[in-house]
Amino acid sequence: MSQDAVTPRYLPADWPLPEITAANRAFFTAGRLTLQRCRSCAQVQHPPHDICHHCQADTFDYVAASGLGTIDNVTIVHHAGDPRLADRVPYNVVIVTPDDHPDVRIVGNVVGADTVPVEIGAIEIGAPVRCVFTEVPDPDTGETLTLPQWELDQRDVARPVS
Amino acid sequence: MLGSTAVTGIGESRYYRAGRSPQSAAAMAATAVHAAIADASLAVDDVDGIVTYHPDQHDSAQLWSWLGLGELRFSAKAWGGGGNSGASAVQIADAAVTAGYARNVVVFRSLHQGAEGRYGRYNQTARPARGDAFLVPFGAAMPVVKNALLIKKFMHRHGITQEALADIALASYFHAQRNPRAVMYGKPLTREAYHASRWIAEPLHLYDCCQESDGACAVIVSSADQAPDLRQPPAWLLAGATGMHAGGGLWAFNDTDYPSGRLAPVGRQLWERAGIRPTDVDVAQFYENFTGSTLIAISDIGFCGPGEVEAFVSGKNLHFDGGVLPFNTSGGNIAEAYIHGLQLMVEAVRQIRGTSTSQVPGARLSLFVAGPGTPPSSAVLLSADAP
Ligand SMILES: [Zn+2]
Repeated sequence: MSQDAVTPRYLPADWPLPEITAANRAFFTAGRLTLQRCRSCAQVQHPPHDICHHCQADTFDYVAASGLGTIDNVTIVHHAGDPRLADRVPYNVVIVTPDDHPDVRIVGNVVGADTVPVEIGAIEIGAPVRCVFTEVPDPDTGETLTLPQWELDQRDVARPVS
Repeated sequence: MLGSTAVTGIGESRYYRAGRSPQSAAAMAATAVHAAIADASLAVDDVDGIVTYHPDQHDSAQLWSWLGLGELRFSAKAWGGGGNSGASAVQIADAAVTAGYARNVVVFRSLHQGAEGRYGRYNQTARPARGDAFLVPFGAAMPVVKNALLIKKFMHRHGITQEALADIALASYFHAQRNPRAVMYGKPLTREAYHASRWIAEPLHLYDCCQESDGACAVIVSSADQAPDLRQPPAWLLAGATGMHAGGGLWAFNDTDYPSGRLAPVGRQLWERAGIRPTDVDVAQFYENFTGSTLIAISDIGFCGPGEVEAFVSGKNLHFDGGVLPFNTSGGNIAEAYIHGLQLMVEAVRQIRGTSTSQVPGARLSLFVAGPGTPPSSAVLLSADAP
């Protein structure tokens, strides 16, 4: 699937959505994987913030990443811990490192993998993934949010994860 | 630090499972603080400073007056979310007394999770902002999820198995069976029961998770000149440390300490200030919101390398009776109670006094480590011997 593929929301519809700010708007609305790059020092940082932690400048570009990534970390959550999640457990939470920005860590979910429960075990550290998006209206402004999510990908991956 | 201060008083309320205390957080705070003052044989007016941590249900300044304490000369709050800052709060008290701003500073924590909400749950409706905007919408909301990720990565990187987590839980429950104050007193745990317990968030089982509790505890840090006149043997504060690497405060698993507990810089500071090595420590209390946090902390702070930590904690190595590093001798957050880790500081003092229910024979150096969790992390080191 291509990076602009749209997937249903992984967690329930009433589960919280992020507060949108000037710094994080691109990440949550661009419809493709978009990272914050400092205009002064050209370093990419994630999560995006009001200042660059490398040089403290406060002007940025928002640059597209390939959307190809690797599972850096994964947990399967079995205990809901919130009534809104009661019918959704077990669910996965992953950390993905984009292949073109391996120092960046993005928290998300692998979607599709748990429609068949046995596949939960297939989400392993080092597995290749590809970015897809959940489109959901901002509950306060109506703006379309595009939450980056991940699908397991069959391509060969050469980058080991320690 | 090194002879300027000592812990002279400790106090506790009874500890309960969350929601079971008949008393409010304020009432339990009063019980713990006044017990600590009495334990130190100080007068109420002798206490002239306070350090707290965690955004509390009650405003600290108002509570000072409700507690009936005297003229306030020093107040401060440690940074961070909670369990990481228990030792930092004691270090701040130490710094204030060492500087002469106050003579007797109380550090306390009181929580009634029945009233304020159980810490293991999320239950928030506001849209997550800042770093949480990159965690909560994807289900990394409850503390156990974030800690499961940290622990999973640490275990994966260093080849650590589930048995190491079991060893931490078993040592905690072993010590709790000897401590009638522990909420898990009379409820021993076996390795089989550990492995059979349900997953909460992999790799964490039920028994990897700390208690959710109601209770309060307090310690009093006093200037060294008073210590000989007070009732209890002083627990001399050799050193405290609070810290992290330069990028340890970055958000959502992008901190430069991932996957560690941000305790390597804390260890370096602590051992240098105290002039001792980790192998000199007789007994240690580690803040363990989850078992695996202790694996990370033990290696971070310098007891062994991360690849050696599974062997380090195996068998009876953490037991009070002959272990390599007697650990959480009251049962800790896992099996005594979760008073945001400050009850571990109380136990560290008991080990110096020789009054623990799992007393390490001849303990002279007693360590309390707070963290991982939110940044920064902290630790304090106590000595039975005047520096
Ligand atoms: Zn910059």
